[in-house]
Amino acid sequence: MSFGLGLQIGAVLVALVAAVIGAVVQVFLPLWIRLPVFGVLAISVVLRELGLIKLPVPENRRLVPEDVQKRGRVWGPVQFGFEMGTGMRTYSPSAQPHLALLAIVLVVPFAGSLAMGVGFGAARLLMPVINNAYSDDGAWGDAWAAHARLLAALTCFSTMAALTAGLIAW
Amino acid sequence: MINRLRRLLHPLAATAPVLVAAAVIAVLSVGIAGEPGWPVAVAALVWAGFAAGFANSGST
Repeated sequence: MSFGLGLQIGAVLVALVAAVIGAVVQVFLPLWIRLPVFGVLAISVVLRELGLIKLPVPENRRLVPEDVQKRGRVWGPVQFGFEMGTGMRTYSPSAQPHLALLAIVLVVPFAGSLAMGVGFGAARLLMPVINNAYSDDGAWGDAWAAHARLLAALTCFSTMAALTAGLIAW
Repeated sequence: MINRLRRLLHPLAATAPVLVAAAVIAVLSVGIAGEPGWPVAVAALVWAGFAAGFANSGST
């Protein structure tokens, strides 16, 4: 509960900050510039996720500090969730969160950005829930690693298709 | 036999949520083909964020 709350706060906060930056960008740059730029970046991420190109993405490459857990039964999980929700102090094995941020800055309307943040936080909450339900020996991570390429392709398809659908319907 | 079944189920269990995601997108697409509107747009963008977040699910 506390972990999920922290996740949502962290994810929505990052989406909000990106949306504020995006509001400025979207005012000053016309859509005919922003859309092709986003298209090129999106194709680059898709190619990276498919393993066709190597494209380094910004990530902090470390685990959330353990002392976060010492903040008590409520605030410890809240802060840990917050850290995972922002993704600023952890690993990022996929470039799709970066693609989502670029979308918020370049093409997604303000309210839609918050919707994306809520979705992101929900997925990050689902991960430990499924992981724990799957087994208690870390087999989820092993299964994921064994099918990483297929999963990257499927999630990338899902992200792009949903994003495109959302922008068309807006 | 049970081990064989487990080996078969492991990748299915890992990919199942993503396949559900694809199914939801198909439903959304049908909605867009009919009467597009902000509820469909919001649902699609929530799902875009979800899929992007789920892509990180290999990490803990």
